[in-house]
Amino acid sequence: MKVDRREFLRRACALGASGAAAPLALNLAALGAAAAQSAPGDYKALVCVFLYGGNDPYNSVVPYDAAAYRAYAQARGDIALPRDALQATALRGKEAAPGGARFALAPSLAPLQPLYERGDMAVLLNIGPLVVPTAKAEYIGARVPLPPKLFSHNDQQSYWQALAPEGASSGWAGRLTDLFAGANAQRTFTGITAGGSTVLLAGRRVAGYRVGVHGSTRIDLLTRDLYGSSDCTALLRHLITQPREHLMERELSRIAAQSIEADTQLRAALADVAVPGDFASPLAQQLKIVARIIGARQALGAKRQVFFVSQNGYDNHAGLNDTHPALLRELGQALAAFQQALSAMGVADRVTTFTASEFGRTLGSNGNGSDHGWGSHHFVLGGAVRGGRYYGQHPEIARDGPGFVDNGRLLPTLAVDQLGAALGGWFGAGPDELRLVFPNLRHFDAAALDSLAVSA
Amino acid sequence: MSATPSAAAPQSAASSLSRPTPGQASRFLAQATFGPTPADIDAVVRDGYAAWLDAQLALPPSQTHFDWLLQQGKNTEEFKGNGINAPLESTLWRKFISAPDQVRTRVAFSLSEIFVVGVSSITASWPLFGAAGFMDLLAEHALGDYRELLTAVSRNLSMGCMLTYRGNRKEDPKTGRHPDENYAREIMQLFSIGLQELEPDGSVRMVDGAPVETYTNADVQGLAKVFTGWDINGPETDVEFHRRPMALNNAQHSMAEKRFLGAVIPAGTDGHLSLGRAMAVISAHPNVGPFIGTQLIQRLVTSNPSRAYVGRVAAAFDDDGTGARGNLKAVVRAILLDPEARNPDLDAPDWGKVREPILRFAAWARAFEATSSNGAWAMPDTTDNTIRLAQSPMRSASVFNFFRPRYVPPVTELARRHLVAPELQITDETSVAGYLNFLAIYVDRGWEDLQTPYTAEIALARDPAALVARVVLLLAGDAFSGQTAAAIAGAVSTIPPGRPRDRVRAAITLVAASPEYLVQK
Repeated sequence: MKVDRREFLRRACALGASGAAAPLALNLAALGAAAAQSAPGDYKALVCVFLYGGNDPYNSVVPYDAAAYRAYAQARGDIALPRDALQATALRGKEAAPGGARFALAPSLAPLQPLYERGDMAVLLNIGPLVVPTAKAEYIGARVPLPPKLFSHNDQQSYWQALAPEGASSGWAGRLTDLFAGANAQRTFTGITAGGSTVLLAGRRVAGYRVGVHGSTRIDLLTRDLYGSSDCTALLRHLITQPREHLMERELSRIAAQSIEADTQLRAALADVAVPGDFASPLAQQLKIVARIIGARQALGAKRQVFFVSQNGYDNHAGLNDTHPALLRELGQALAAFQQALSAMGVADRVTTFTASEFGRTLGSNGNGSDHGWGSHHFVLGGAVRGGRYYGQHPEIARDGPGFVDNGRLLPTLAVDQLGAALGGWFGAGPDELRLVFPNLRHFDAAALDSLAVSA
Repeated sequence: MSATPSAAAPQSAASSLSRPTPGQASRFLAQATFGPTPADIDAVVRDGYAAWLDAQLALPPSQTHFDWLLQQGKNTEEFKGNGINAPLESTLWRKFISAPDQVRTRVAFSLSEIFVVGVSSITASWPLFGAAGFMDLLAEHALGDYRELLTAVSRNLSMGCMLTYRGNRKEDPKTGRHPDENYAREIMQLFSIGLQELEPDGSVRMVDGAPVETYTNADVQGLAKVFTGWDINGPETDVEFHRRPMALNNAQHSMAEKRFLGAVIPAGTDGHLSLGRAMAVISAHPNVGPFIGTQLIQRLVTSNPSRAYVGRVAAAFDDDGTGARGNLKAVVRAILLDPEARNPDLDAPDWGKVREPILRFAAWARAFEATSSNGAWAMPDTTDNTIRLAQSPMRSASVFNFFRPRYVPPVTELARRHLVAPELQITDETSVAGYLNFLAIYVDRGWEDLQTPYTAEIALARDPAALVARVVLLLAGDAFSGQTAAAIAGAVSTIPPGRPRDRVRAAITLVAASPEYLVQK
């Protein structure tokens, strides 16, 4: 199995023509090397857990060493978590953070602590959308290009998923899987969402395939004769799937045809796949169907897959400490159950899971919540992850300090592109390919997270 | 926005709009109401578009959701907590399907997808009354003045809950507490001006080759101070507090200087004056006409209106002909009577919009004169995407609505042509099956007390061609191919004539399932 070279060339041309990629010294020799390097030997999957609303970073990964906690508590006031509640979830990892900083997980994320200490989870500090490395003075003076429409939910969701604001026509995971178009028997089951519509999975030729928490949904009318008439049922199937001239009708038909075909295949592939464990919450149910589809990978002929799941409710402008702990509890329990299931299935080192969210939040309190921010902290989990470590840096906690802009919003020091490149590299993409998938990667240290995930 | 050239100048309304055919009347009613009925088609054919529309626009609001819920005795302890909101579905669908003031009701629903409140976000007792009252507020102002609408929305408790400024307190320099920025940001991004400066035709204004963002974090922080000090008006002992605008507690209102969008409200200005000034500043922004106008066109008529169409609607917003700005009645009239809406090229591959699932169900009920047999209107939450509609009124998961007005479905010819298709954001391999699974139920046996005898259709069932022609007229108007209709008639004729009701059900199912119907032209 190898990278589809024609696909790669098409992408190279498309990106080059749009000017999105810098003049890359592409030649066939380099391409051959990239393809050889990225030829995948076995199954790998990425799972994106999107926290819709903008997760509050400071009450998820809490500054814990005495000085940092004092600054945190003073800045947050009534929304600060009490320090004595953090003792049990203080992280004792394989490496200290730069400068000896210590962090604790929010108490409700306790199920993740063993994963961190086992080395199966890494913490990314202060990551977010950036076009180029950006210093505070450059932000204030608008002296460097910035991601458009910062602080806007829908646009920053899109930026995390596609590296462009709302309206983007492809996502970075879709572009990544385009490189492995030949790896899977069927493109339909390459990018799969159990978490709603997402541009993340859209590549050049296919967008994400949608499943419910029990898998695919059957069209009941096609399983029987419509009012006793097989002619009516046959016509119904024809009407809803026939190619159309009108562009919206064409989409409706395409989706219906795919729904019918994929349902047949997925239903059969999932029939005997059971995943043990406690998957009760809405997020856990999504992760359970992901685990089941991973369990059916051979029947589906899949070698490279990306999954998308999501959790709503993180826009906690009000009632942060009433609402947020329950969300994190659901997140922590779901992720822990998922990792446990993957281990039981023997694929823990074949699946890398990461959290994402449109933005972080303000350091200061608005009374009982926090407002839209920029940089945030995230988790990367899996057997291939070099965990028990922090990646990136946390600035000194000071609302008007050099690490914060616009009155307490973290200025990211890691770019989404860098995370994507690390995950893409693990997936099997070569350096040149990654620069095509992540056009702004050339502005950053592409190797910053090289050690984040390593192949077994 | 469509990249196609501007439409021709408006034709004389009198000449082109006077005598609609039944098919044209049906297509007009799909845009203006929750769906054509046989009686409304007759009336539009008889009176013409403009006269019928003006009669609708002159109707006062019909019985409110709030009053109906009171009349049904839903203001009891049983419905006080969140989670038991079923009567909300009843009254919302009741008006969608049966309200006489259909244009107002449809526009109010469209506004509920711009000014979004989800019932589960209403953190006060009897949330169903909060949601009902909010939809009533939208109906009250749907054909009124935009600034008054924006003001009423901003004072509404349900919106205050949805966007968390209920109980929002002024800044506290000692602790560093700042006012909640939620409403200040979203009122600008979603309810009025959007993120980028627009030309009067809705296109993004470019300066030195780049768009211009309409506001910064500093504007959000300045405007946030306006929305401090507002909270529930009166005790939660009965439901009436939901109908009262939020009250101002000036002690919690920021008296600091408030700067936003180039305006300055001086220090020491109280809450009422500050709110009035903010509403005036936002409503006067030149983006409002094209920003709100485009979305109303999208909700009623087409996803990708020409720039000229948007320009005409925005001009009606800016001046209703008497010099008044923000007259929504004039805007609705301009949208529905525009030559682009009335006489489009029905064969154009990019004209129209995907019918959102709520409208599909309502249109079925209205076309076949379904009504509640006992007055209960026991409709379900239709959010489920495997056996319902993947959409339920006033149950959007966030203030960003079920779908975004600028949604571009990736990996499609639409995307390649830079066209949007908002409703496709909730259209996927699961929801297409879910719709058909729900359709199979309600066409077959209605829903609980919502029932239709299909009388007129059964009378035609011996003649499948005539039956299908009627179903097509009622559901799709003049935008459905004769070829498809003939194929459906042929298939229906294989059902024995002795089962006329099954022929009717099969004909409706096949028309309502077909993509030709699912895209409203």
